[in-house]
Amino acid sequence: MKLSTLISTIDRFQHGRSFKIVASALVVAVLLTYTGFSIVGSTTNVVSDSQPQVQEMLQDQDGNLIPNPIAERDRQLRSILDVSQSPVNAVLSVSMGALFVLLIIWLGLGLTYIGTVAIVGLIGWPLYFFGGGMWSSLGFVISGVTMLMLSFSVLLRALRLALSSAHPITTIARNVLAEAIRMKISVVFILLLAFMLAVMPMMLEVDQPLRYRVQGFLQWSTSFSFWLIALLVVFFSAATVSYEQREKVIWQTMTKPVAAWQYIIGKWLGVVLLSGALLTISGLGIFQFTEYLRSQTALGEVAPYQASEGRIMTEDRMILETQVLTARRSVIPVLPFGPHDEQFDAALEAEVQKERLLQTDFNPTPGQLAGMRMKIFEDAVSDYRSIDPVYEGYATFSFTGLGPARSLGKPLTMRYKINAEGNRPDMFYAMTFSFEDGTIIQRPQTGLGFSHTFTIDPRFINEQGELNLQIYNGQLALDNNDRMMMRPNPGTMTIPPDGLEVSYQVGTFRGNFTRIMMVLWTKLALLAMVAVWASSFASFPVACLMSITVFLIGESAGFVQSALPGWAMDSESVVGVIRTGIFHFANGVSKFFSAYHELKPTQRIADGRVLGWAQVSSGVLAMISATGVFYLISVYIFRRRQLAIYSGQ
Amino acid sequence: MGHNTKVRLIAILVMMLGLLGSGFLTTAIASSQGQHELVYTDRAEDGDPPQVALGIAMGAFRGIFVNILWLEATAAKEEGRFYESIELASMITKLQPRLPQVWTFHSWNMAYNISVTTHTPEERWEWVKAGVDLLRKEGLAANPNDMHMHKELGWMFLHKISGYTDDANQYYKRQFAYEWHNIMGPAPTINPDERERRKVIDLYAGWVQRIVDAPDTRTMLGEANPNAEAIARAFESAFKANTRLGSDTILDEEFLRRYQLDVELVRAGKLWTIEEQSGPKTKTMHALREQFPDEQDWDDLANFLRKHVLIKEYNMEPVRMVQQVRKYGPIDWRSPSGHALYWSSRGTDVGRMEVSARNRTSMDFLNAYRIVMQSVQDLWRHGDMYFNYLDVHEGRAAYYQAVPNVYFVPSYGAMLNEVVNASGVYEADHKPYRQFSVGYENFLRDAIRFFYRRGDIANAEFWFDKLRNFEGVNVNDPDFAYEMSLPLKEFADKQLYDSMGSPQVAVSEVYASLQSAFFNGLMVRNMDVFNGQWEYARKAHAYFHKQQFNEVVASTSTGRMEFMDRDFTFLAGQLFANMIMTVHPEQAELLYGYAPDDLRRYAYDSLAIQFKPLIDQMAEQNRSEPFEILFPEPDGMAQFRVFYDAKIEARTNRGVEGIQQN
Repeated sequence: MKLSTLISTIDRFQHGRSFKIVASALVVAVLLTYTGFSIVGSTTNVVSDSQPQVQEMLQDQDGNLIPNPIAERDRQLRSILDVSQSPVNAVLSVSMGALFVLLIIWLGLGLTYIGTVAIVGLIGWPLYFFGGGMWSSLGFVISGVTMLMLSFSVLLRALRLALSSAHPITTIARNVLAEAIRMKISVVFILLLAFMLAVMPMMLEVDQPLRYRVQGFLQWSTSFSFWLIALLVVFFSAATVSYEQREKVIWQTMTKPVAAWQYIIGKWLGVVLLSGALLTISGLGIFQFTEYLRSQTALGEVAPYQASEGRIMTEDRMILETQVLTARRSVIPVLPFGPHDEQFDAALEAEVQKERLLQTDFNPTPGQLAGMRMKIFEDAVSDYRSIDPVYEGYATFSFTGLGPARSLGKPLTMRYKINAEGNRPDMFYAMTFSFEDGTIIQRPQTGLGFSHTFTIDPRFINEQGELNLQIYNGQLALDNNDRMMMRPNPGTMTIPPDGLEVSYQVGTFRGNFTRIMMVLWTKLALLAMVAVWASSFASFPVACLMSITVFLIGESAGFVQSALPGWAMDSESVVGVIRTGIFHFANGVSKFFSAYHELKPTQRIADGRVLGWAQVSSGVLAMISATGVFYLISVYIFRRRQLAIYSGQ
Repeated sequence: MGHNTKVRLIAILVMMLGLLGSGFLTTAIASSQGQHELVYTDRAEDGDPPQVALGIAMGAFRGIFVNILWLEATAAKEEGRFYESIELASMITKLQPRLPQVWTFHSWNMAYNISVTTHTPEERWEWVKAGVDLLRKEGLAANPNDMHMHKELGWMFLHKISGYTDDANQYYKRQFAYEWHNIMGPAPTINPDERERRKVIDLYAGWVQRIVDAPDTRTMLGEANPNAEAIARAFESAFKANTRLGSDTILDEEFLRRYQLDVELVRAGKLWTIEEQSGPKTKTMHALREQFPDEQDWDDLANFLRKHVLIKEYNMEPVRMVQQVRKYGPIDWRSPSGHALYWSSRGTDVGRMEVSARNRTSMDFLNAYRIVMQSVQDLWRHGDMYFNYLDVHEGRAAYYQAVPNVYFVPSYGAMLNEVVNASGVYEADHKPYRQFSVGYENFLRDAIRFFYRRGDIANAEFWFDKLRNFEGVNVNDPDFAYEMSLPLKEFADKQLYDSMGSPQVAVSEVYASLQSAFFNGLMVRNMDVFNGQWEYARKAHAYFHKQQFNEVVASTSTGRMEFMDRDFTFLAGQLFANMIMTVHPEQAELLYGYAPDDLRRYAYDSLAIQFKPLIDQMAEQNRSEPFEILFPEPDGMAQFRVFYDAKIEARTNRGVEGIQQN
């Protein structure tokens, strides 16, 4: 039998209904079996059996029985381990994989893909396992790129199948998808994305703590994927619209009963679905590899999830599970006073009197009074956050609304930062944290000007959901008579506005990751519409330039906002006036993009900070609105364009 | 031939001519570069590292991109996103490899800032090592002659690892000793008959000279010692290595680690642990050691690998290490001060090549020499080390004691003229107060006090004379003349009262008095001297710990100031065990014979391992009494072994190596 005949026979067979049904049943059976084994096999007993038993209750000095805090902490740590080793993630991953396989089967590609995977496996796997060094890396890359491209191909086919109706919008969108793998520009980006995603895991340094590897991988892979897909969206959107106009292909489309609004939305839909497919593949790959990294040995462990003897969990593992691969909400301390408190009335009056000494007819307007009161309030806040080591010694801070954190019973993360002595890099301050129940936590070596974290027990939160603590500017120590005394630091320390926060888990990494991918997709959708809008009236290079400019402005809006306070202005020199103009322009533009920027999806995923549904909704709504505006403008421009005149020359 | 074809042919011709011309000119330019010292490296043909090309390729955008990276790295550090700040720092060093401040800033950031945000000694040590490695392996590779970077690296070793300001400093010291014990092997044992300074220096120089003399390549090793080559092949096969020994520093270090572990297990008489408790790789290594029993073959292979690792992995020069031993004294390379001295001294050597009229008054030279002198001082204070390798290997709170090394006492004075001359305006003769002079005075005071406490009156008088007759003495101290007129005893006591709270003074006082107790008391059966010095050592120990622990007892960092073990009996017992191993068997017999039982228990097992085979052999030849007669087992030895193991466990759980474990 000739090879071509054999291939045709196999192709007919894999398209047959009986093959599809049998193969599907096999896949479902494997999935159910795996699920069953995972649920039965999931355990953390290996860890708990090796730990000495701790008493649940202790006697205090009066002979009363009190809960043993060590037992409570052990319980918290075990519950963290139980969750992290839960089979849910593995079952979900396998289920997603099974869905993919079912899709492949029902697209009539089952045997084709088996053959392709087998061929690549024969090349890639021996290289990876036996090659060593560079050959092992090559094997990994070959396997990775192939799997990513195959997955993308499946999704693309499925999308084209879903768009197979005869409606103009779906037809145009389907053609866009076909164009995506025909145009060199998009193929290059797709290949580059697959290659970089496959290479990125190899760039991790194995001697770094596990949590840094995970954070680094999440940050760089998500950023890189997003940026690459964004650039693809820009170039491809601009190309698909402007090239059709230049090459007069659009004449064939517009002579049919296709309205301008249908044309624009069809183009946009195609690009959005393409970016969605790429983002899905990237996201799945990133998620899977992150879960794989999670199951590696953390710093201080003898095996994955197994700390050395005498400990339940290493610090690296605990931070990874409670601060990184989670979704945390942050709470900052509440101020004990507000700007309208009576305590500022006297100070305001004194300030007004002081002004009247200089200017007898000084009669402030309500606005001016409000400004003066705010200045007094800000000075008071600044004083409150500054702790003199000798005259004050400490300051009290209160966090409210932590009832859910107390109920959850999991360790919280305290992040703190202090400024002192010009933040000299060779200086370290000692700090002491004293909690409501009398627990004292020493932080003897606190660097100045950057953040530090430590975990705290949820039992420090009282029944009203408040966490009250005192922060001392110094170290508590025993004197010669065994009495507690303070060893103060040499200078006053200040806790900046962003210098104190408590965070606790409110969701899972899985859910957070999904929401973040949705936000990224919405951003790409907006970018696609901007590019379509630009190319509706401009040539390809100009449309790309405009779209990339908008994209870069959006991405750098946060950076500009943080840099502007340091921008010097004056109204006396010509340069000063120009600088003032630049300030206001930059401020306005960056504020306009604040809804886009403040979502910070990549940073959140790497820091384990929650992107809640409320934030997602408001951000997505803003971006959808902007998309809508650009869409309407595009339609308006397109309807008024004389397509027959423009020939691209 | 069409027009386009002609154009293409001409273009190809021009390109070929251009390539040919650049090939000729490159050689000439490189030669001129080297002649006029217009290169960063020592040899023009070494060329620029690839990252320099990356920066050049970016053109004018490099500056903008670097600025953005710096801003992001600083913001990331301030917000606690250290994983990101490290990646960004790495990118910055690639774009600005020739700017020393970039390297020193980032290495400092890792070793000092990021490390203190972590809460376990293990992770802190990783960050400190990362900071050191960034300078040592990458920064100095790109800027091999920069004095500032050498000085910074020396400072990190001296201040961060050898110092005591970091909570986890005791952990660092042990890990550092363990790492370098694996790489260099144990320090040489000084023969009791050859304690003269020159001979000890020769001994320590020989330790490194064997590495210098080792072959450079695997082929040369095979030619010099075919058995060593056979061992290498057997190791590669047994451990299924994908690379060859001598070409992969990771594999080389693994060999050296496993080799050293086996040597230590055998030396400690713990062969049973290999059979019963060790993993498969330890057993495999031991089997190899039994298969190839000639120690010289193993030594040759180990020295070959040591050379490769020192040069390729640690960017060190074994030849320079030998030179420094001969110049400064018997450096124990397991001590961080030794490395502080190496790098700072190297910096002064290479930096002097770059002195010009413009930089003659630069503080970098003065500061680099300061690190050299402070390193020498630290080697005098802590350059003799006793530590338990196996306990570190097993993750237990290993015994580690660094005590004064008298062989470095002459080193400071010998260097003084050189550093003063090189410090130019800052140490000019006309100045009434000069820093290095103060340093030397304090150094001598320390030495005099130590020798006096140890009972070595001759040396104490000798150095007291040196101080009295020091020509470079500062003239601003009105009390100097009075102090020099004091008798030796009063002078020594005065030094003690002025500085007892200092850790190094306390250590040297305790150590010196215990030495005196053992050698001037026990060995000659003068129990008055023994009891007197013992009591003095106990009181000094108690006073020191009372002072220091009042400062830190409420903190989690209970071990920060633990320059000596808290338990005096444990400390004294360990020192006794170590000291008895350094003397002749006859002297050991005297020491042991007159010692009380509680001291004997600490020394018995080590003595049995060290001396029993030799003494039993001599007994068979009727040249000696049996070991059991000379060194009878003290009562309660079995219970003591249990107690000792429990003590080590308790110290591990107490976090005595530094900050508490979670």
